[in-house]
Amino acid sequence: MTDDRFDRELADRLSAYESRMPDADPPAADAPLGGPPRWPLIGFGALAAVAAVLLLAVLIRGSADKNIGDASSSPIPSPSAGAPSEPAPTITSGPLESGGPTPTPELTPSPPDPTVDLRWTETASFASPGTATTVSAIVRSEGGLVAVGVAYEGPLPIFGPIPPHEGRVWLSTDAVTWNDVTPESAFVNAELRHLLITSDRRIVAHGWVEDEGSALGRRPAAWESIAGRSWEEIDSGFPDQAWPMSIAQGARGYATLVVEPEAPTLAVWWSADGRTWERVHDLGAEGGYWVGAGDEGFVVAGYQGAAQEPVAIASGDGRQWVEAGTPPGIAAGVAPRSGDWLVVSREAQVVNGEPSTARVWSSADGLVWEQSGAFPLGSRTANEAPCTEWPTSLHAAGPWLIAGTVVSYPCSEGGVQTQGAQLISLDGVDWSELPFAPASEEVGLGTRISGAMEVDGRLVLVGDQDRVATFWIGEQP
Amino acid sequence: MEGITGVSAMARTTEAFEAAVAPHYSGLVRRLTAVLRDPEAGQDFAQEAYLRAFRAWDRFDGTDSRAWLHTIGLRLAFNERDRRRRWGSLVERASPLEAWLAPEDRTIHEALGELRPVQRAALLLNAVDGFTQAEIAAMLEVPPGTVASWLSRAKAQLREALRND
Repeated sequence: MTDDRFDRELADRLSAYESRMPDADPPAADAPLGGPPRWPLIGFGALAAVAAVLLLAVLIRGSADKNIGDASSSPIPSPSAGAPSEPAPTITSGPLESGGPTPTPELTPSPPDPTVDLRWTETASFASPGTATTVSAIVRSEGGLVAVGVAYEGPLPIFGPIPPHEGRVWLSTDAVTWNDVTPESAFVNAELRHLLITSDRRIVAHGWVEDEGSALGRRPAAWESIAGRSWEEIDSGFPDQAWPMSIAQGARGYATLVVEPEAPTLAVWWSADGRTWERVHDLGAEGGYWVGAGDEGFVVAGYQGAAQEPVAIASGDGRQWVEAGTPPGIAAGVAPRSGDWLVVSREAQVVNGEPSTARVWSSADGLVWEQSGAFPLGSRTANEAPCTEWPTSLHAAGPWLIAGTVVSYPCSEGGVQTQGAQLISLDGVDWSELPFAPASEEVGLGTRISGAMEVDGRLVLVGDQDRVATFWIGEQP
Repeated sequence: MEGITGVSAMARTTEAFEAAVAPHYSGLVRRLTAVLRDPEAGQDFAQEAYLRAFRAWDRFDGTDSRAWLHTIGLRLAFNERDRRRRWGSLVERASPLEAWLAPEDRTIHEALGELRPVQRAALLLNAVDGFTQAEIAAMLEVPPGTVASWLSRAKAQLREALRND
C-alpha cells in the first residue's frame, strides 16, 4: 500500500473511530461549571495554603518568640493552558465570597499581567502605647476577610512570662478598610494563631488559652464564627497535651503540625472537614517543620534531629505520607504553586555577617526537589555585631510569593529575633525587596508578614510592624 | 444604567462565543477522549477548556476557533496529566472501562493505545484534521521536528498493527 493510500485509509478509520466516541453538549458559556469538578486536580477551588514552623525545642522552653508560628491562606491559581495568545485567565472565587475547599468560581475581568512592582498602601494599623499587637492569620470568609492575632498589655519579654493578652479579630469587607471586631471578653488570655474555613463554611480560629489547671499552663482552644463578628468556643479537636502550631487548608482537607510537649514529639494531624482531627504521622522528637496544602495534597518540609537533617514528606490524601528521596535544603517555608511546590531553605550554618543566600527549591510532587532560585541574605548590625538574615517564611497568594527573613541576636542563635527583609517574587527565581520598614537597631522590631491573600488582582498582606498589627494592600500600577 | 449596558454586552459576548466555539465542543470531547483514552477525562478537560476559552474570548484573534479550542484543551490535558502522573504514587484514580468502544474499532483503539498521548494527539490533528506539522508543533508547543518524528513513528506503528485487520 502506498503512503498516500495508507494515509487516506488511516484518516478515514481514525475519523470513524473518533466519531463513535461518547459525546457531550457544551456547557452554558457564562456558567460552564454546573457542579464541582470531578477531579480535584483540575478544580478551580479557592485553596488556602498555610506555611508555618515548629521549633519544638524553643516551644518546650516556653519562649515568647512570636516567629515560631506562621500562617497564611491564599487561593491557588489554576495551571496555565491555552493558545499562545491566551494569557492564563484570572479566576477568583468572587470578591470576598468564600474560602472553603471548593467554592463556585465566577467570571471576573482579567487584571493586567501581575508584577512585583505593586503600589503599596498601609491600610490599617492597631496600636496602643506600651503594648504589642500581632496578626497571625488571614482567611476569606462569606462575611469578608477575617484576620486574627493577639494584643499584649505590655512589651513582649525575651524570656519569662507573657504579659496579659487577648485574642483579636479584624474584619474587612473591601480588603482596604479594617475594623477591630473583637467581641468583648471573648478571648481573654487567648492567643489566636490560625484560621480555617470548615467544610460547612464556618470560620474556625485555633490557638490556645492560659489555663492554670492544665499541666503545661495552657491548653489548645478553638472558636467558631459564621461571619467573623460573633464567636463561640468549640471543642478544638485536640487533646490538652497537643497544640496545633500551624494549619494548612487545601482541596484534600486540612493538615496541621502538632507539638505534643509532654512526649515530647511532633506529629502531623489531618482532618477532612476542619473539625475532627486524627493523628496521621509521627515526625519525631526534635525538628522544625512547615506544612503546605494544595490541589493535590500536602507537603511537610523542614529538618529533623540535632544535626538538622533536611527532610520532606508528601501525601496525596493527608493520611498516607511518603518521605522524599531528595529533599530540599533545610526548609524555612513551603508553599503550593500552580500545582507544584516551592520551599525556601537556609544553610545549616548562617555565617555571621558574611554574605549568604536563601535557596528556593521546587518540586512537582513534594518528593523530588531541585533548586530553582535564590535570593541574597543581607547583613544587619545590632548590638555592634553584624548578623546575617535567614529566611523564616514563605507565602503564596495568587501569582505572588512572599518570603520573610529574620535576624537573630546573638547572631543565628535564635534567642531574640528582629525582622529582616521581606521579599516578593512571581516565579521564585527573581526576588525584590518589599518597601516595608526593616528592623532598626532595636530588637524585636521590623516588619513581619504573617499572611497573604490575593483579592481581585490585589495583594493583601497582614502582619506586624514594630509589633503593631498592620495591614497592607498592593495594587497593580 | 451601567449595569444594564454591561449585561447587554455580556449577552452579546456570550452569543458570539457560543456561535463560534460551541459547534466544536463535541469534537473536542471526542478528541480528548481519543487522546486520553478516558471519556470522563475527555469531558472534564473539554468543559474546562470551554470555560477558559470563554474567559479568553476577548483575546481570541478570530482566525480558527476550532484549532484554538483544541489547543487549549490539549495543552490543558497534557499539563494536568503530567502533574497527575507525578503524583501517581500518592493519588490513585481508577481507569474507566471502555464500554463505548465499537467492535470494529478495537484494533485501531489498541494500536493507538501503544502510542504516547502526545503522539495520538499529533496523529489525530494531522490525519483527521489536516493540520500541518508546523501547526501541530505550535499547538503542542514542541519543535516541528519532534512532531515529524512522532507522526512518522505513529504511522509506522499503525501501519504494522492494521496490516492484517
